[in-house]
Amino acid sequence: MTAHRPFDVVVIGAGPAGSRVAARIARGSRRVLLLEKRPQVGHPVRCAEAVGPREDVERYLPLEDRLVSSPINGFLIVAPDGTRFQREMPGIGFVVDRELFDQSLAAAAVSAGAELRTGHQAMGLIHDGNRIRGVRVKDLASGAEYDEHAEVTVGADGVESLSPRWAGLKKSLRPDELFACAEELIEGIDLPGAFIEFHLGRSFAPGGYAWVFPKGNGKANVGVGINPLRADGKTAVEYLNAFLARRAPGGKRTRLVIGGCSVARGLNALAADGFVAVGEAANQNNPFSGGGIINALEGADMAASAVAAALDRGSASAKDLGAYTREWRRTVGKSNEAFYHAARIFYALPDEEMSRMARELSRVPGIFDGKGVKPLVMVRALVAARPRLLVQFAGNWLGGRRR
Amino acid sequence: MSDSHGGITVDRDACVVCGACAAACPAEALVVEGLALVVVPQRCRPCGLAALVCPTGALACPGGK
Repeated sequence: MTAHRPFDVVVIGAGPAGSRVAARIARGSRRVLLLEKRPQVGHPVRCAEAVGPREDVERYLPLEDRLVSSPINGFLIVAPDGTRFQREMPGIGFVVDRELFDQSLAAAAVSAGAELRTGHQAMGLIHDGNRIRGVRVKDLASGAEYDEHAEVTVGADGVESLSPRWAGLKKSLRPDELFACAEELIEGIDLPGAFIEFHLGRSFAPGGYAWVFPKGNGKANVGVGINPLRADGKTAVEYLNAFLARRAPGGKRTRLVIGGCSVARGLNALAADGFVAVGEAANQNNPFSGGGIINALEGADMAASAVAAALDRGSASAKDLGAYTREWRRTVGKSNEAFYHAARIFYALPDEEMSRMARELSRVPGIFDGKGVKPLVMVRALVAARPRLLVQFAGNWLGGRRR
Repeated sequence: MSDSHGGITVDRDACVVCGACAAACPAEALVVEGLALVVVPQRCRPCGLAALVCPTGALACPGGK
């Protein structure tokens, strides 16, 4: 398997981030290998499947009808004391079929010329001093291991990723940097108006939230994401069962989705010598919501531009690839930083204070734009409602970024 | 059906190989390989983090906290 001309780029993981990077780089006539450890891209689904407005998605792929399970027409937040805040916002987003979504993105990578190998797993990086020069790969069907050398390796291996750790960019996630999630696709649930619902409260989603995302035809993804450190020894599945009894009694369970979801702070550096990390592997999810599909695609484009430029120059050191880190931190990374601090405070509030805060936030003018919550407005509002938080925010921010 | 590996016991009926434990394990003692969760017991410290974050309660880690 090493008799061919080496690849320019090897991408680990054919989720949205990896497939998008592969497509972008392969389009420039570069040789790209896209590795996916699962036998089939996109399966099984590990996601609540909500994305933002059509124009955001369509920067990356056509949002064909077959990919859409349901439009989202607005949102409903239920505070711990039962207070409901509702806003109609047609076009705010879509719930997609994540399996088809991922497969479309992988197909685009293959059309662009990337070679996709499913059932092939990255076992380690090939190091040459500090320089990363490719991937040790295992063909899971045969058990055979082989090396694939490349100028640049892209770590897009998701929440359980090891490649950014091997590259020295990341450590394991602390328990409070993960939402432990459990979700059922429920058939036969009362869904007024295809709104997305967020339910807050320590009793059914400690340190996180429970959600209802419409999937069309009377179906919905109903799930909980909890902070394991606040879970009183109970599992996400147990919290899900309690939430289902309350929100969807009598609903039919048709698909259990389980997963960890990164809500960690952004990485200090997204690039090493010959390596970049992207998507959830790079902690690019929104640390307040855990949402990460569009973020991954944005990160992928930034990474692809930096990698392509480095390949053109014939030098892919951490410094050459550093433009990617800088662009991320100037844009999405900046709002993620605000969301991270807001989340640390918001999800730690006792129920009664969270209810009060939710009331305050719902009254803040300008907190929602067409796409959702504006992070800096939200932080300002949290601080205004509870001035002593300012000290905490400032401390967090000035405390420096953690690797 | 469950199997024990040094400090970690995996209930294979409850485990859905979501990878949360692999994300949290500081020692790479739990690795998702394809569609399987592989335990590398000689790497396990054990610290109990994998069992703590597991969404389904599939992991038991008596040596951990």
